[in-house]
Amino acid sequence: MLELAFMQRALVAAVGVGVVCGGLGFFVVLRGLAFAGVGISHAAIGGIAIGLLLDVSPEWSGAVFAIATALAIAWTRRRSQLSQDTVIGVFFTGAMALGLVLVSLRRSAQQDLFGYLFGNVLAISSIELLALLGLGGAVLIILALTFREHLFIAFDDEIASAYGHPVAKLEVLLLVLLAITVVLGVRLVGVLLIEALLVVPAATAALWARDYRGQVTLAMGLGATSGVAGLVFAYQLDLAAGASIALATVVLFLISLPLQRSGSD
Amino acid sequence: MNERVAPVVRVEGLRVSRDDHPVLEDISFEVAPGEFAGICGPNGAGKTTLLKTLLGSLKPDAGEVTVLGALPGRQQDEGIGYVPQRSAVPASFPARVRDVVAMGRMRRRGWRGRLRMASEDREAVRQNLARVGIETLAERPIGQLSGGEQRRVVLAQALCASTRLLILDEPTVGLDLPAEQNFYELCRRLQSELGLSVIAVSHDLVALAGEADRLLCINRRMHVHGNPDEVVHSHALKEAYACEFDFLRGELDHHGRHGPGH
Repeated sequence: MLELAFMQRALVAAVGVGVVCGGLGFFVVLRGLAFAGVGISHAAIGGIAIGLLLDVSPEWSGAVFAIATALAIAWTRRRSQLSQDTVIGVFFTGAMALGLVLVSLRRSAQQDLFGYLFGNVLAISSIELLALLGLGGAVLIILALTFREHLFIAFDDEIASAYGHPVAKLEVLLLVLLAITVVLGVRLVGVLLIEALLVVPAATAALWARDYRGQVTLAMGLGATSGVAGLVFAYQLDLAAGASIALATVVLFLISLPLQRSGSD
Repeated sequence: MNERVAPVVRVEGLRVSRDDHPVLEDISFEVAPGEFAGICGPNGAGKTTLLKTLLGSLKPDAGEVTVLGALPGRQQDEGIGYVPQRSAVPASFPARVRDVVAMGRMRRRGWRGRLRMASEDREAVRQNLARVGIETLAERPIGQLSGGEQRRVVLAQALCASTRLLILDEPTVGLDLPAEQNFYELCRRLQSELGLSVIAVSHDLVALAGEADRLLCINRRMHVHGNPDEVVHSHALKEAYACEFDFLRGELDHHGRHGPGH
């Protein structure tokens, strides 16, 4: 299995995406952004459909569209009194419906869309893999540079703001990082299941570790482990790779649930 | 400035609106270095709005506000220490007490401080935890502490941000009476030890009157402003609250808690 070049590339992609999703997933879980993850990932379908119709790279058009949706969610939320999940509900369905309408214009595009909904990691090229690792590295570096400020905002945004931290900008940044990460995961697990890597490893890590240091490290490790384990199972048993990876994250969570640290230290 | 000691906070003819409704009008006062100023007023009087204006998160429509010699939110190096009104930290918040206290140092330390703690940060954290009397809790997860202990953590965090001016917004809401008294006594002690100026807002006039050097009573406008004894016996106070304060008549000792409460 390991001697196959496509499998090597897939494994590297799985580890890369797993680590980035685990790291960002820490804040997704801490800040209650699970629905934002679902919304932005499904909104990417709109951008992917535009890319398929215009014959430009669906990954890049999906990324641009996902980031635009993230910014639109943040902007609308500031301009209205509506809650974040309400605003996400509006843009998520709107962008996804737009994608499906556009794709219905051309039959051949419907076939292609399927790969983006559920992932197609075994077909990833070396160039695509390099782009994925580069972008993933950039997300991790930005996250590391702003980590302590994000943690402060999670603790108390009012105090963080009083001490001069740009709370609104950092919150938008988090949504933009989420949008980029969603698109990184499109090849691996597809837009419909990327949420699994964003939420479940970090949730599992929160069952085991009490401190953010432990939670972030564990979430990254669990993301990578789920990616590799899912791929290996998919290869051995001839299953869908993306769905196997998503299932692996949930299996690790369910195993952890009864074994988690008890209430005391 | 001139020979007079420059005030820590100077507010002149302040007017602030929120959502196009005027909340504060014609507010003027000064807070001197080392002074404990209590701001009281009924619910909806604009107390929190006033604090947010001092912190720079709300912009005034008119008037002048100077905090530590600069426009609000524009202080160099050392700014304001802030303890907001807040409910308990979620029990699962994944940080230790010392991590939370260190957050107060981040801005002063610039980019390097945002990335990681230096040894001088650790020293500042240790020192401020000792000042509020909870150095033994440094390694505990923040969510496991009691409400009163958590309030002290936020106070230590505020001292990491500033040892010149503390702003406290209803800092004792949700605490029981002994914890509330302990908290105010601690603030009083820090004020004299460090030469801190303190601005505390509370709807609990009695608690404030016992601790503050000066009371400001507002209800959209400044109603009365002076030493606590004068203020609690003034007619203007009744106007501000639009009710009588029978329980305050007669003696009001340092902790002033004889009355039937609310």
